[in-house]
Amino acid sequence: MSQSDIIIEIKNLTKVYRDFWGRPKVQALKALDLQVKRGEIFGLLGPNGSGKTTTIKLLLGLLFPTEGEALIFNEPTTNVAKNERIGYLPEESYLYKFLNAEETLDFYGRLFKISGAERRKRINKLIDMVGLNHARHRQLREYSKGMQRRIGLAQALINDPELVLLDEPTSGLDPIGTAEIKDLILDLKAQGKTIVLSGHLLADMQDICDRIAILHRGELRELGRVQDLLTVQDITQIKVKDLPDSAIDEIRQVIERHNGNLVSVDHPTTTLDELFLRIVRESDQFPGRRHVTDRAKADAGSPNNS
Amino acid sequence: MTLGGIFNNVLDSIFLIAQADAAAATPQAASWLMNFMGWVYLLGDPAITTKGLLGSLLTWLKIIGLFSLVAWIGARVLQAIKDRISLPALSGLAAAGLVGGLISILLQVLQSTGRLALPIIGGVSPAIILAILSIIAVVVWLEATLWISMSRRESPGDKLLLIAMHIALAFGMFSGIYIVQNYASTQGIKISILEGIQQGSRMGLTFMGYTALAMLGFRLLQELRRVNPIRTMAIAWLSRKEATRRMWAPYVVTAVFLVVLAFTHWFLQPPRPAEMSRLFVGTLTLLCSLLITLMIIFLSPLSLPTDIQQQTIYTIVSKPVSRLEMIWGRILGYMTLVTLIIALFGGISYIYLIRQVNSTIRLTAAEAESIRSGNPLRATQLDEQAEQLTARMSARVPVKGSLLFRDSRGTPQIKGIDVGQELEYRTHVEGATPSKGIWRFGVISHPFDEVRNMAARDSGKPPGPQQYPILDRRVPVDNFLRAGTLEYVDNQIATLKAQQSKGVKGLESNIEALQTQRRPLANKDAELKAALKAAQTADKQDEINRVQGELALIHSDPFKVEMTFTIYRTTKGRVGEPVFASMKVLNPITSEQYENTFPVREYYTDMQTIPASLLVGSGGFLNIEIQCVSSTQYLGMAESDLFVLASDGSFFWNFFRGLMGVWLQALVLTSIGVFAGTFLSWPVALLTTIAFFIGGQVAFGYLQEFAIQAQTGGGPFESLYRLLSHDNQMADLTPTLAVVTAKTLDSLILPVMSRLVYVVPNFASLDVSNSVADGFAVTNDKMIGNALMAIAYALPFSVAGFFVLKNREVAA
Repeated sequence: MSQSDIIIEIKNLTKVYRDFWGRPKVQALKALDLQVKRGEIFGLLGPNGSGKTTTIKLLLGLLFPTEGEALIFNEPTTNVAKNERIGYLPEESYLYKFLNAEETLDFYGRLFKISGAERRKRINKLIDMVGLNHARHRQLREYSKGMQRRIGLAQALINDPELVLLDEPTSGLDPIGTAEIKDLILDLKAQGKTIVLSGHLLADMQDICDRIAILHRGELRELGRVQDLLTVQDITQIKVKDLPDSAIDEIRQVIERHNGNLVSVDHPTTTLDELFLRIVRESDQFPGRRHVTDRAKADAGSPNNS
Repeated sequence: MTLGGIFNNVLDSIFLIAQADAAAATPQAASWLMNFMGWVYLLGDPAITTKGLLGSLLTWLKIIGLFSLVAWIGARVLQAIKDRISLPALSGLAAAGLVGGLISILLQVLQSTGRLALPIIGGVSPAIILAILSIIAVVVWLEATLWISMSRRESPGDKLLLIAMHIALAFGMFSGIYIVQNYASTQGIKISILEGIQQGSRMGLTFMGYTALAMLGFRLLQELRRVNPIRTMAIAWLSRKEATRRMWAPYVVTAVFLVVLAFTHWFLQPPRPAEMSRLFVGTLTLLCSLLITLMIIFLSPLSLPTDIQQQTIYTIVSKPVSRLEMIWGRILGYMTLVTLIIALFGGISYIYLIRQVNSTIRLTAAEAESIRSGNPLRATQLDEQAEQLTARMSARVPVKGSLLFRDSRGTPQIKGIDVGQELEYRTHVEGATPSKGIWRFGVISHPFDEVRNMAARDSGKPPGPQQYPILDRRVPVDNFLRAGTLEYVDNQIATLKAQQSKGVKGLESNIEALQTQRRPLANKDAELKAALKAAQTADKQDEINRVQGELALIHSDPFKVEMTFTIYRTTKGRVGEPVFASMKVLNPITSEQYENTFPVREYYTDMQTIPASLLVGSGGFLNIEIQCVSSTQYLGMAESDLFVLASDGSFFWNFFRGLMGVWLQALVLTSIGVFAGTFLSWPVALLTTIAFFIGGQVAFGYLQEFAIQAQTGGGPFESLYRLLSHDNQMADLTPTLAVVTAKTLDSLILPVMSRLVYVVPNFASLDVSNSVADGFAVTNDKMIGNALMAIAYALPFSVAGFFVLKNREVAA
């Protein structure tokens, strides 16, 4: 892999928070080593306080490392010029509440020296993209948390960045908003951008990340491709549709003959997120009346259902 | 002579030696070296400077350099302490040095208060030896800490700087010792090596300061390459939006201004009608200044801390924004707001003033006219009021002389008679006696020297040497004599002849040309004067006016002398009868003089017009003598009470300059506020900004005393002791344990605090509203000086803010 394909390179990155007297208070990050490659979606996973946000802040130069170094586009994090190619969405939407959506994007656009005409074009496109057209002239102090997340995301994309750092991008969003953001992230990836996102909502990360790093108490616990990490090698799962019970018994016998240990036989389940989304999407398709699924019809016909 | 006194003479002596060497044709290298060392001394000694802009710049560089040095070393040492990189043995050395230093100060205090008598070892006090050992211990610790810190952190620039600092220190040390020893040998006096080392250390530290400043300057230049006007303007725009939408600051100050202005005439009652414009101008400028200062105090220190506290700064710092843009953008934003508000307030104030004062002038003049026949005395008073109001609504440029007195026996005096009025700064001349006040103009000796010389001349003795600096108070003759007039040509001729008499050759043809130019003017003058006489005899008013008009074309206008005296009455005198003063204006070069007697206007300005011919050949030299004619009355005067009116400018531009003073104050205050916000939480930053303003506006005089440690009653700890023990400031204190402790603590903190005083700007000197209110022009020199002073503070504060913010973890 060539050097230009590595967008972020972190070497032995350590961060110790100290008190006023310089005594160590918390070791937020311990000797982190990782690389993020061009065009991938990289997830930083971990529970609260695991060092995800600290890593992003170190990458942006908001914090200085105690030891080690981080390079973005092969430049040290203290180099302000690198920020020309970066978009950043903070954990909370730390935006100026006294500005409206248009002013917010215009202000951040000017920080990137984007010309007036180009700024106006991008502002319209981004406001459209995050669905805030109806509220573009309202001050952000009047925005809900979800709306603030959306405008925060728009400001992160105002410079059409090569690298997008998203700190818990779906935090505070409803499932529809979450899905839209996930779609947007995939869209950004399709445009060739590199995305680093942090979060602790595993399902969200699982859906979109190419590779993930799992941090716990400041240490890197796991790093690799999502698919590889999620595959349980010693368990074989066979999914079959419309299989009669007799056939299941036969399979059971075959497993026993080969000294296999049958863990369970059941029907796969979807996630709650998926079910909720399907219901919402179906009700969008059939407005005005409740759309009842086959399963719901069966439940309604059962004698126990009064 | 003290060491300080010796140093003050060193520079002069070095140059004198150099000149003497050159004159004696000694080897060129020695002369060159002496000159070089003279410059090294000027550049290296923190307390030495020279005149003019170069001197101010040099002092500024020395102070900024020393602060840069302290900041650079302090930051690294603090970081090293926090990183725990010092070795235990070194920490022990530092502790020993600090304790030793404390004990040495204690010993010195005990010695000075007579509590302890220590034996002198080898000519040096044990306290001094301990102090030197302590300093060595601390310096060794500092050296080791810095080098260890450098070796652990990859920073080639810093390593290079540290090496350069050592070279600077060595150079300064060597130069200091050389200069002191050289001076001692030329003067034939003995100075100990310790004094040389002391001087060398002072110079070494200054040169180290320059090195640190150069490094910071280099880093600043690197950062400046990144500063972009679009981004800076964007930050400025954000600051303005924040001020208007979040703080509502401009709306609040505008509302307050309008409310106060609406009721101004209710509570502003001038003590005398002629004081009206002064009171109104002063009050409106004060109101404008007060509101803008309050706005800046509440805006500038809150912005960055709020940004950091609310974490909105994350979205700025993660963009390609330089920290310098963040600082300058904020300053620019607030100053744009200040500019708009000053323009608004100034415009409203100016219209209000013009309407109010002009209307009063018009009404007063009309009233005077209506009662002139019935009550001429009152009409004259009203005329004077109208005249005074008009005079105040202008921008007079005064040329001030130097005042000295002769008393009633004719003896020269530096002051007049003290009539016992404690609050009166004027002193008096006695009526109907030879007592007089003499204003001297020209390149003149200091009044102290002149009084001594006059006394010597009076008693037929030769004058003594000058002990005080020569004053340049010349009347700008060329400003008063219009080109092409008789007086102008006469003055040119007189000037050339004066040069000729000093031995300048080749001026004959120029003089001849001027004589040729003069002849037709003189002929026409004689002709017109004869015609005027004839017209006056024939009582032809039209002819008189015509001839006078033509005469005015070939003569320069008379120049004006303005004066404001007070009268101290020992008898009431007759009602309505004024006290009279006589004025004698003398051209000391040509001995031409002009005399006049006039009634003194109490509380008002008297104006006398003097023929321009008196200035011919004066070279800017003039003497104006004022005597009190009325017996038993006294005329009170001070130096600035009489001046030659050089010109009368536009009140509008002067008022504008007065507002510029407010703008410059706001600029300095904004820089301080933004700087404080880079490292302090908003309440502390707010208090810091307020403290700076109060210190610079109200207490600057006291701070100056503090800086030179000239305050009576000791430092803060001794003052506290005096407060608690009810001892006055002058009382000698018994050296009890408490007194010794207080003096020791003062000895520790006073040198540090007195240096910190230099960072407080003199806000009061930026305020020129009093000059505007008094109708005096704020000169270009004053404006440029004030602008440079404002920049001299605003720039370092903003740059210091940049370095703080650059090295601060905004997300910590």
